[in-house]
Amino acid sequence: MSVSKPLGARPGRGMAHGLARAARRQAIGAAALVALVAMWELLARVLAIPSYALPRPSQIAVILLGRWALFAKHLVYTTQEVLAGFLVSIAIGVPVAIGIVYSRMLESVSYTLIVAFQAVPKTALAPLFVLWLGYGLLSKVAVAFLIAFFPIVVNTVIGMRSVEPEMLYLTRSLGASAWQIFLKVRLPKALPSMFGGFKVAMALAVVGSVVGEYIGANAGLGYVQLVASSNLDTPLVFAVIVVLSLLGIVLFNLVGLVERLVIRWKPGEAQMEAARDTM
Amino acid sequence: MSGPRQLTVSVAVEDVHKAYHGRAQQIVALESITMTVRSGEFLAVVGPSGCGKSTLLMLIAGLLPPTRGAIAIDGRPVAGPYTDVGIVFQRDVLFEWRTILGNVLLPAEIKRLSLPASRERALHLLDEVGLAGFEDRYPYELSGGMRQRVALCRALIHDPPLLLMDEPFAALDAFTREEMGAYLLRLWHERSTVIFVTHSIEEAVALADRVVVMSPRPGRIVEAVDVGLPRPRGLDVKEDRRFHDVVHTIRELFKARGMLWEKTPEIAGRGR
Repeated sequence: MSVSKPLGARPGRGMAHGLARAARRQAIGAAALVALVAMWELLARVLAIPSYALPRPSQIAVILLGRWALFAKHLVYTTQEVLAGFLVSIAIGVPVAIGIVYSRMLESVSYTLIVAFQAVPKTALAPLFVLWLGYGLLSKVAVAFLIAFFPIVVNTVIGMRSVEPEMLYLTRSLGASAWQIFLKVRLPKALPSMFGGFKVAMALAVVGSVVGEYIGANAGLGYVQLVASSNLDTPLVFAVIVVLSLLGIVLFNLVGLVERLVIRWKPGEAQMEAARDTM
Repeated sequence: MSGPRQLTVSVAVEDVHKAYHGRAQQIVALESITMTVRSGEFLAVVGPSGCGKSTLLMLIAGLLPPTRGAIAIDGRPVAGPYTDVGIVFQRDVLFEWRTILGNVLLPAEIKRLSLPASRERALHLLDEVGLAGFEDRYPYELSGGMRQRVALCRALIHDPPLLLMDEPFAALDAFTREEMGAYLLRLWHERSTVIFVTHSIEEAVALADRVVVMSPRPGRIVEAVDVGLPRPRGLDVKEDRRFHDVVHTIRELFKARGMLWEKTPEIAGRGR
């Protein structure tokens, strides 16, 4: 009937091509990382840099493997803080955003407050939370929440406001209730933007937890790092940086995984690559 | 879908004005519009951009209140959204998170119609517009013309007695646009009253029973022209002598108001 062909109607070859390209790019990235580490090792040996100034990658690896039980214990502690702070910021941030989108009163009150508060460096508040909530888990969860909260609110508001007016006309013309419009239009429309906010929030929750641990704690990776640096145990400081980086990567990708499970209506990486190939 | 339904409705627009509050002054979008759309009629509204054609559709759908005047559908005054309607916009406005079938079924879901019956009807409609087999795909996988055909199916899934179309094919290329006209005529089957807004005179004459000609802002009705071409119609109507006569009549109406020039007018003070 029609001569027009759908985009990606036959993704077979193009997609395989795209996947191959993505894999090649990742391989190049990994190779660069390996080369960088090797150069670091070589230079540290050749120039005989003392390990308290800059430990060699091999020394860091030895500590990571040798003291894994220590890292495991504190990793669990920090991960708890991060996840709790992240989840609380979603549980409070999303309803606040919905309130801002739906209530003009709430919008003028809370959005002004939020924007004003956004200007306050949140890490500067960490000492107060330790003072109020003590050395335990709670003060770190509070700092993580405080930092992660804003990107979630802002991205959810932006997402829910990105609904085209025609979508609202269309649903209203069918007699849709406010609840139906929220569930069938605003929420799904906002999801991609919300997940963008969740990813940023997760990365920031790690920062918040560690900063909280620097201020006052008796457990967690930030605490380990603080103790190590006051002992001039630089290899241990570096080992903690490695563990924290891995934690950040894993948690970030966890959000990305949930995002891919929830949002199935967007072209995937491989298809995007394929589309770029054909251009 | 179940039980007898009213196939078509009549629409009466009585001395309707619509003004918006602009930054400095009031902008009058529509001025004293009075027209009647007969039950089952396919009415086209043509006019230049900014003549308030789209606003008129919003008013008829009850999505905007008129500043003055009244609108009645089948004698009942419109106050608030008239929900027995199908709307097609210039943008397809497909919900990108729903499959093609999910998009077509949206009105049935909102109106809580029987889903198995609606599903069957949706698949039939998609088949009619050449999209059989695409029901599980997502909108991003379809071309612009295909997406607008899905929007057409969505507007018709609940078999509405009134179909409002706001420049539905304006964003498509000329070839796809012709195709869309044919699909519309095939699906319509004279089963609903249609108000079709466009800025293409040829499109209006090829599709409609009657063409209402509007002037630029403030929008007023200049004249209503009967097309008088036989139905059922196909695209070959454009080869008909009468088709060209009606198009010519409408062009003359615009020209008489200085809107479609025969030659590019001299621009005063050129080069100074």
